[in-house]
Amino acid sequence: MSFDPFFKSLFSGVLLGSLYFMMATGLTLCWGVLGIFNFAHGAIVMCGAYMAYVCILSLHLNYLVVFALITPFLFCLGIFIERFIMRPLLSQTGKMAFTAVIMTTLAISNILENAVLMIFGGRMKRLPKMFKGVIRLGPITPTYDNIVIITVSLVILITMVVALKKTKVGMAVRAVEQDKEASYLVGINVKRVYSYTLAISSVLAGIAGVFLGSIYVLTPSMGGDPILLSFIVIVLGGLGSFQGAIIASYIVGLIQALASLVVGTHWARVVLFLCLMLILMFRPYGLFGERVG
Amino acid sequence: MNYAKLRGRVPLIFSLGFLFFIPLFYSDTYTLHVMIISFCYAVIAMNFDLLLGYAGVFSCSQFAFFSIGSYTSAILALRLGVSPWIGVFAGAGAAALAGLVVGLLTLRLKGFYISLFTFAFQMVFYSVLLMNPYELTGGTMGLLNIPSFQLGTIKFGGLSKIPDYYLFLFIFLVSTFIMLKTVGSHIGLAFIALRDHEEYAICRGINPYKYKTIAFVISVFFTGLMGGFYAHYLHAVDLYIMSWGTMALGMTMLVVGGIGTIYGPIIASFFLTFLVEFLSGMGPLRFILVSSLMIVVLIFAPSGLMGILQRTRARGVQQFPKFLNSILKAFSR
Repeated sequence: MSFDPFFKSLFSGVLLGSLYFMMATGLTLCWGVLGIFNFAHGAIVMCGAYMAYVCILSLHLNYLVVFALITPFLFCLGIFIERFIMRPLLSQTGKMAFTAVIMTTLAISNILENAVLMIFGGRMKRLPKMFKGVIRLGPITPTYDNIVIITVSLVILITMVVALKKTKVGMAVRAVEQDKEASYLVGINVKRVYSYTLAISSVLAGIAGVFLGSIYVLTPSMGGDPILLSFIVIVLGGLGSFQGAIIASYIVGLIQALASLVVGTHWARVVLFLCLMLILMFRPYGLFGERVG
Repeated sequence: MNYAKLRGRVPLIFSLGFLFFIPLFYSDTYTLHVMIISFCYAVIAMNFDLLLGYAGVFSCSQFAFFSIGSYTSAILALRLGVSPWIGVFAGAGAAALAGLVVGLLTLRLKGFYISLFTFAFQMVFYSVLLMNPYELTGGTMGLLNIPSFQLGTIKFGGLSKIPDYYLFLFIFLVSTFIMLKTVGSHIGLAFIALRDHEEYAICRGINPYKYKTIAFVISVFFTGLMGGFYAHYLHAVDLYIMSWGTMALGMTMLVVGGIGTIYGPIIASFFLTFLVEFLSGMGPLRFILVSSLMIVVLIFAPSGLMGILQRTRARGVQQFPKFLNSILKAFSR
């Protein structure tokens, strides 16, 4: 009886963890392969949600069709960002190259947010529910939507693991992650791998955005909050570590849910920030990352 | 002072004179207001430049410290009736103290983690202010009716912006002077050494942690001081100053002017503040333009305005097409 809220927050922790996992995977892949930190990831999350909004409320499409439609769009967005913005920057060699990349991703994020603000206005919008109804499982009552989100994130998880291990592109991605020069030597088209990585991470972010929009509300700045948590996830998991990101996203989701239960939703962010501070102070290389310094 | 030295200072003397005499010829309230905001941004951009361009620390939370300065000063004036002259320094002190804490926590880390941590700090500070703890910060509304400065019979913050203009010009000049002195001193040399080759600098006995913390605190102190003056000048503070748009604007000033050149960001901040005011009818589109400008500059002319000036001066004007050539090259990579 008295443990009901506890189980409820455990469940919402798993749910949040699934969402963070979808966002953090893209970020950690980007870091591992390109060696950049993509601050525009949150804006891409937001773009995915707004694309779904257009598809559903103006074109009256089914959610399944929506995913089929927005995936190529997000893929192209990722390739565009890599080809025309990141590639000229990454080929610069200078003291400030790394800073330039961070600044550029912040600028991209600003451009996307303001573009959406210009087109749709700042008012909150809602996506309709995917499925109606709830299931009763003892103390927790997940909606069908929640089950779908958790299932899809598990499917994505398995697909990613298999794709990285078995497919040619996946192996190329891992090879570039380990050693860029050696990958050139064995004939991998490193620049194309960069493009694919950013494209895949954008697709994952966009899909996460649709799910996020179906739970919460859509605003032009909705990407800021989850992106901060994805940062915490990939720092906790260790930068560039795929397994680390998986485990850490669920840990962060659970911490956030339990902190919301204890100190309230708004202060939960502060608690997570304190966690980030502690991680950075004592284990800056994360739980699974390689020790760098 | 010999002739050559004097000739080198002509642009400086000319621009100083220009800044001093603007109100005499052009005392239009709106123009002076935009000039005052430009001074504000110039101080922010300059201190950002000290941190990024000289100490090599990329902090994403300059505007959080700006808000610490303005909110502290505003709360002191509104709640305790403290004189704004004391309040602004209290605000700057609070910002410096916060900067010291953040600096001590983060500056041991590698460069990229510092940006991440400061970014998170700014976002969390934003949400704390938004939650309005103890009804102090006013939430989304911000704080209103902040008293303005008063000095004897001179009243600041009135319809005539001339006293405010000279006040902000004074702070701007003081900040610039201290910045130039810092950069020229042994501390500044240590910053540059650390930025250019950290391992070698450490071998020569420079403590990176200490000097980076010094840079952080100096930069944050002046940013917070400007924050206090800004709050008392506008009579209001809100959370808008910590939004992504403002942050991107500040970074654009730095990039367009040229990172690591104090004068560059100053010139760029005047240019961009006027540009943004000029385009204010365009709504969000102007921020899209400003951010695009930043990306274009980063790709095609990463050393910014000052870099272009130095290059043209070094090569002579007849070789200028080489710069155009580099634009073509950037896309063929």
